[in-house]
Amino acid sequence: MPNIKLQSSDGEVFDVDVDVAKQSITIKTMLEDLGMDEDDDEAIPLPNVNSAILGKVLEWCQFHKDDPPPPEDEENREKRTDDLCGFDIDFLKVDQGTLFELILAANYLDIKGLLDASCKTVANMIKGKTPEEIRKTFNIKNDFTPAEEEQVRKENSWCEEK
Amino acid sequence: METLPIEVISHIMRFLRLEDRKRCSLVCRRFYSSLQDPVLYSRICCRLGIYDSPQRYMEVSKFVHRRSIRELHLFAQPGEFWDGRETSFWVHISDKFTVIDTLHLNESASKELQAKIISNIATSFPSVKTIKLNSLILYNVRGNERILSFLRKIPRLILVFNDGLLLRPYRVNLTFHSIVIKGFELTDDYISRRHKTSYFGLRTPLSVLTSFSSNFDCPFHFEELRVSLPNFKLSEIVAELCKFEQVTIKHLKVDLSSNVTEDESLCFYQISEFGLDRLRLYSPFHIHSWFSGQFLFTIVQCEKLELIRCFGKFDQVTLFEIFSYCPLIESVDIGLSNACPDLLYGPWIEVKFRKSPKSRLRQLRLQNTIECDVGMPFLESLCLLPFSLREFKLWVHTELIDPAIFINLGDCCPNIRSLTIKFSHGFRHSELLQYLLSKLGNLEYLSLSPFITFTNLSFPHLKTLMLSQEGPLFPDALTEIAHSFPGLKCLFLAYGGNVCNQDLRSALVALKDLEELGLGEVILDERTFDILSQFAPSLRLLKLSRKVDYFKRLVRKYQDKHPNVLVQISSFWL
Repeated sequence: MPNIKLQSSDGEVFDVDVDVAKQSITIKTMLEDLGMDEDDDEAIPLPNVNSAILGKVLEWCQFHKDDPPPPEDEENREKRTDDLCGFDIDFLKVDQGTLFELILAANYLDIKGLLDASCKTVANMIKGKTPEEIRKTFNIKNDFTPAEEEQVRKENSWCEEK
Repeated sequence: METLPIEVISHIMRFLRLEDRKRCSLVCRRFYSSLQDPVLYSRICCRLGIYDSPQRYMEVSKFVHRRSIRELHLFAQPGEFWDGRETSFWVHISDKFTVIDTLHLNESASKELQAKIISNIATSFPSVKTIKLNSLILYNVRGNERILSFLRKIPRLILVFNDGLLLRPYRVNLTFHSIVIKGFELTDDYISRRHKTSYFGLRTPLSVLTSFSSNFDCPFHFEELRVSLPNFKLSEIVAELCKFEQVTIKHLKVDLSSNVTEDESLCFYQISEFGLDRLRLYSPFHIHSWFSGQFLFTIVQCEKLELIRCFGKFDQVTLFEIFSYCPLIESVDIGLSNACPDLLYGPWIEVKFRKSPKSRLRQLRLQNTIECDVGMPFLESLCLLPFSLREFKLWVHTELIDPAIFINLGDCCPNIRSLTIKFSHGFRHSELLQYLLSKLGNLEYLSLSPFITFTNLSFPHLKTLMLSQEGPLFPDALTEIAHSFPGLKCLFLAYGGNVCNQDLRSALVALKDLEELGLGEVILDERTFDILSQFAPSLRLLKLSRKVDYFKRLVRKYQDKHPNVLVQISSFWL
């Protein structure tokens, strides 16, 4: 298997199997568009991902390298959040900071599977909670004025699920 | 959370249902903005009452403008008045909506008002492509040529029968894109019940279906169809459904009261064409192996099937083969009133779970309600259960259990949240059951009979605990529960055998402790309730099981018919 080199924001270089790395659409496009040779010794710089997170992302990619490509999103299908595989559940048992960094990295590297799994994990933290509980969970400040809040409440009463 | 860009928060919102999204919209401005993504509104419709104030119409029209909501549900609430002023506001949003749903109008709107509404829709919404028409409204606008000619221009006109109330199909000279029947129950007394309204002049219940299939030649879609006709054969029912131009049934439930004979086998092929999501089949008689074969074939064809619930004498080969071919199946609930001892079990289930490592099976309930000695191979075949399993219920009347089931379950399915294990006879594998429980740290619901000791076990998420057995349970068990499960919200106790006063006193102390720890209620069978409430009239937690009432009614019914038989409810059943 040919390998490529990836360089994290803090300068660490990771030697990775091409097929593992290509789960990132961003890296895949870079390789294709820039015509980067697989034997190239130059590392691909990933300025938005630090070494700790890149290491985790690559661990995830390594485990999922034989997965079939994720199905296209069907807008009309209800999205499930309880279908995470056991590996993902354990993999995403991390502190909130790391979880958000993983989401950002998955978003930047365009790894749909990891983005979905990590967003589902956050969605599960939100489910069933009141606004106040959500604020507490994520340490968010309520920046609505009472009038705005009333307006949002009103709008909410106008829509429903089909 | 502040580090995430809005579009990523929007992506998270896509995994939430509307109820949760509404709560999120109130959290902070960033959350609110993340919810403006048009993608999030593809499954959302706007709800507008015909009686709402002009101001509200104005506001809603702005709201709809900013999001891409395409579907409008009109509804009516009784006692309000519609004065026609709102039509001027509809103009602002009339080009937004392409789908109008009038299903909620029937409740209170009068005949005249319904006609007026449709007429207003006709003038206000020129761009509408789809109208879901309540069958009652159609009835009320018949003869109104202006409205009918508007309706004729709608490309997708869908006629919806809401609650199984099938009107006599009258000729309105309209072409429907499709006809949707929400829920319809076809029973033997269907005609006699509807006789007073004399809509039909139909001779048999099945001719209700004929009257539809012969009057409309568009596709029919049944959301739910329940058929309970003891005097008809399965093949007759299916043949009737096949007379429709094109029929899809989302949820089919059939009660059979007689054997399906071999010459009816064709109907299984036909059932498989209905595009079922859910199938419930109840049969009181033995289903022969050829039937199983046909049945299996049917199931195999139903690729969308998500739930199967069967009561009857199915053999296990059929049941386990079902899993192997229906990847979407999430719930299997099987009551085996007998089993076929001459069939092989083991290899089948093994094939299944190897074939689909990504099985979505979440719920598996197995009951064997007749005592027989085939328990061992039956359970042996459960050796490879899918990782996805969340709920497992095993209720067998046999002591011939292959103890390996507990080890397998513990090793294969760590995500089980709900576990029910009931045995009626002396149970000798407490250690293995304990091994299983030690692996299931995520349990939220646990029902055990007989009871085992919980020493060294911990279930931090356990909310409900049900314990029942035909012997003394108190009091050590309760003390142990109080220590082991601090998060418990509901405790259910059913118990047989004698207790001494000393035991009861310690039991009450334990219950008091549990109450202090946040226990919400203790549900008891009748006997336990009588004993405990005598001793502790002040304990607010104690409640009598609702099942007791249910069983009492059943017993009464039975004894009316058989006055010489003495029936007792065993606490095992509660």
